[in-house]
Amino acid sequence: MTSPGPFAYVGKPTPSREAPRFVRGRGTFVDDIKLPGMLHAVIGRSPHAHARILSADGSRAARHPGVEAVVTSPEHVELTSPFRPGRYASGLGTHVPEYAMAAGKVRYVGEPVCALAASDRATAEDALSEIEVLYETLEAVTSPAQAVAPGAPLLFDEVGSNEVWRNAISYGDVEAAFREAEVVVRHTLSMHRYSSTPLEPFACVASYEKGGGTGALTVWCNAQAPEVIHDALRETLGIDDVRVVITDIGGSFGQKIHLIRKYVVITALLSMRCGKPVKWAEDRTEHLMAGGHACGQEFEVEAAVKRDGTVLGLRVREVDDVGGSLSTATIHFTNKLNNLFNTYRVGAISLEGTAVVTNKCPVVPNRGIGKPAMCFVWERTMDRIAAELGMDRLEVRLKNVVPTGAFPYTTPSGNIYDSGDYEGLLHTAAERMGYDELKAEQARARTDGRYLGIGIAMGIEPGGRNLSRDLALLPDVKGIPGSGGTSGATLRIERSGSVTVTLGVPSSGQGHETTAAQVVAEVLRIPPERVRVASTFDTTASPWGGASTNSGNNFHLYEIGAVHGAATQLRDKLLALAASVLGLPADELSFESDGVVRSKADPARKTGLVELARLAYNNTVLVPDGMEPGLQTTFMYRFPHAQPFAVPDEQRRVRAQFTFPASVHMALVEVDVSTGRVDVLRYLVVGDNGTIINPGVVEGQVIGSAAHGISVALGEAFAYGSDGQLLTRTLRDYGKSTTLTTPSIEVEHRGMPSPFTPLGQKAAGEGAAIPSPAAIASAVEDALEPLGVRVRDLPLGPESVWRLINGLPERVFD
Amino acid sequence: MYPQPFEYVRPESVGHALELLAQHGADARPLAGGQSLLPLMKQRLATPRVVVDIGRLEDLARVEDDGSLRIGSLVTHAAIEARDWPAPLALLYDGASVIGDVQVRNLGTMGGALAHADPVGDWGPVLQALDASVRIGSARGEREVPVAELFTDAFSTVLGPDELITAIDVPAQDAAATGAYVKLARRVGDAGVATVAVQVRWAGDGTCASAAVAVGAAASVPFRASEAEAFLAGRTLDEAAAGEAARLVQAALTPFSDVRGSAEYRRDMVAVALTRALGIASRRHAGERVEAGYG
Repeated sequence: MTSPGPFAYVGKPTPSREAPRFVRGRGTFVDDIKLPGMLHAVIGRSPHAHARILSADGSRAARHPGVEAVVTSPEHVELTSPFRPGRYASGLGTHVPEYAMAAGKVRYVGEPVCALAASDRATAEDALSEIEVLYETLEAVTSPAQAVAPGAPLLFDEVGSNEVWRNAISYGDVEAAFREAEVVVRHTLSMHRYSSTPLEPFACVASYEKGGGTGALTVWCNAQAPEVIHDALRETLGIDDVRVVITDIGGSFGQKIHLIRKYVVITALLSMRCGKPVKWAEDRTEHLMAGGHACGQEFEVEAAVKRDGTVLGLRVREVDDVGGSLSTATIHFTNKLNNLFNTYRVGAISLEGTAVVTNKCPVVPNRGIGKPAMCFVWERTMDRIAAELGMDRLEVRLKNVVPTGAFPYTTPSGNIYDSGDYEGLLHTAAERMGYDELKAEQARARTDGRYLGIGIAMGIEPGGRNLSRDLALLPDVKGIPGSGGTSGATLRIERSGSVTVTLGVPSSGQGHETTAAQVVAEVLRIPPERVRVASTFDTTASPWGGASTNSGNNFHLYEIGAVHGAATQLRDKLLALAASVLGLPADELSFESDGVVRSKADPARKTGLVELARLAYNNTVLVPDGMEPGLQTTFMYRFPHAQPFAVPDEQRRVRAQFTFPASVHMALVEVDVSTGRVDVLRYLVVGDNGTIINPGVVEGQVIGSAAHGISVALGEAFAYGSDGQLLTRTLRDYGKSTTLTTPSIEVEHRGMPSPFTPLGQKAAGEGAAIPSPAAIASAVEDALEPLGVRVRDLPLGPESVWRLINGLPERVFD
Repeated sequence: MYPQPFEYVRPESVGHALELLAQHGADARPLAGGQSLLPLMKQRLATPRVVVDIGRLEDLARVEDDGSLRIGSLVTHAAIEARDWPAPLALLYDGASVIGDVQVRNLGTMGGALAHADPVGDWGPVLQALDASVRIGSARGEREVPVAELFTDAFSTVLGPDELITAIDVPAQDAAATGAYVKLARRVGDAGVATVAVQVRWAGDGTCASAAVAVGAAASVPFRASEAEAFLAGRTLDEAAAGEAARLVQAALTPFSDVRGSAEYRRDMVAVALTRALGIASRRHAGERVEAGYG
């Protein structure tokens, strides 16, 4: 396949479409929506981690002046149907119905148990304390070890165990790898619970109107996956006429796929009860308690290695702390198929794992869903191998990466890495960082009692999801996962010659409008300023699919594919129209900049976009027979190179995702060994995102996700007391890094276009959040190497590092 | 999040404010910069029936400097951070510069922070090390209480419900004294896990004539470490002296645990903070310009 380009607009820095409206306060977020007669809702939440709901009485609250609707958990269960079990509960043996509110039992602090709507938010908050919910408290389990201990209280009596799922998968001959191993490297590792903490928590406005049949429901919400909301409302409320509108979203990162549906259902139910529009906006503490966490993941890892550093195989055992819900119990395990082999040419791997329910917040996707942990496993193991064999950490990686000449490269699990130059990424990073000089500086600093550390990690950012992936783990499940994925784009060339684009997904601030406009400009050869991209998603107007969740990971395959496909169709149609107008065959015409179509042989014979558009709409007699008038099209994109392994074969090989950007991260840190504080002095990302459409957009994604990963490594974490109370209820307690503690992140692009995508583009979103926790861990361990410290767990807040230095056990909260 | 309904009153004068506090007693809370009270009210952890907004009483927002210093209780952290203090009062800059973030410092006030009596507050140890006292007004009259005696427990002070801190008095410092406030925290902008303020009066031979040592963020109230102070008097402030002083501070300490730091970590960090504060005070004595900051 030839490499795409040269490009007129793709890859050029063009101004952001969205930034001016956000900077000027002209964005439209859910909380900006005000409807006539709109009420304001609040949600009552469980104060207990584990309890039976004995009774709930909303009658006093219902009499509170200004209150117009009250719903309690028992009523909710009466009035609604449970959610249909989704893909991440489909492999569980026992189905336990899950409703938007707790049913019979609460299983985590913050689980919704009641709600009401009143004339204003303050009145609603005043009245909420008048809903009386009686509980019988139960002992809470707050760790997987505690949850699976004999006699531990069960979260789900129906399931009979807190270990709700167990699975194992292997590729290649793992036993042989360990038989041939000259060295076996073993360690235990863990990743903790954190969140992407979007600036805007969940929010929803629901407006129900009685009418024919089940009535009509419109919701405005900041969900990133419209299909989840659309399905949830129809399933739980039995309403068919559902419209979901999504305006600007203040960040999503995966947080806004799953749990948000509960709150949209509750808000809609309140609107149905009183017949008025109802708004609900979550506050920060609610979001930290109940908005979803990344899964706590524990690993036992064994690597079969030759003395020259070659890794023959890996054995990983995983325990996932999935919190108090079954609906996403398998998500952090199944997603490890996406980057199971990371960047390495290793022949065998086995992964077995369990999901254990605990009395903590349910788990949801968070910038990578298990992929940062899989990368952490690989990268910590590579560092350990280097240490045990006395090799340099760069050298061990160079020894094992997929060689540059081997692309497209099929991993033993069936992923096909489209293109890459991992060796080049490593060399470029080492050179730009000054790796050898830094090692000399580190040695000098140590003689002065300063502890500098250099960290290395590399990872891939799988992009474009394949719905059939989970069939590799759940071969008996029929129907639910599906296969492949799609999304759409609608393009309209106006009579003015400008272009309007409607995307199949909402945008969460990742610059989708800017990026899409640039692709249209490229194909139609018009300046991007002439392209308008709708900023509102509406299920009644948008060409939406079912597989895309608007993330940069999916967007760059499905939505860009759709935009490119739609623009190409219109360009072809313009050529055909021009051929008709000029009386020349289309292949004798050239499509030039600014929408000029010209005869190749006689440049004086030409027509243009405006003329052709007017003709297409206003002069249909001149539109050739068989050609549809107008210049509008909707294109649904399907990845055309999905075979082989579009669905799992008999060896369970499957394309978990379709494009594979990669990056190398290097960090320079200094550790204050008295306090344990880690300062990041330099941070470098050398990345391959394929063809970059808008450099500013991609750079923003890289910097934002790297900053998050660094913060995850350096201390942001949810902490629970032994009673299951969340101890970190504010951003400050939670320990999010601020701009003052975030290093300046250097980014270098070393793009290798994908041979499988129309522009050579690959994913560009969460990528830098995947290796960054491992890069910081690597740097801290390197800094403390003279003290014999090994970094197995995150986060590395000052006290944790102080404990490592002083040989003290990890802190446990009372 | 909205507070419970409350009555809002904005008094015309300090006298009027004190009358209102006397009238409403425990039902009322004075509002200064609002950086502690308003979040507590929004979470409904504080539910005053009457809020007396003293925030615009200009009489309380002045700094008077005639050798000794009188800081009006409404002077903001930012105003203190921005002022050009002589070397013996560098502690005031040190303390102000590490409180919360810029937004908090712009609105939060010294008097409000003291009255809030958060164990992790920064002004407690700083003002204790400077031997400061607070002037407390009420309709009954005025009294003066050393900052060292202001705090009775976490979030508790000797203030009666009708009383208001009107000013903070900082006595004249020895012209050659230097000090430092070191705040060890998980990260910039976070509350401390251990903070130490020292103020050293130097003898002509460069030894320590006397030292004030105040410890914050480690126990339920900030405190002066008198054993360590007694030990340091008359000594050369070298590493060994700092180490022994730290040991004496630790012996007097029963640290608390919270999500920011365990008791054992806090105990160790108090020693680190003291050692670093003494080091910075010495370097400042030698004429170096040193930021104390987060240690």
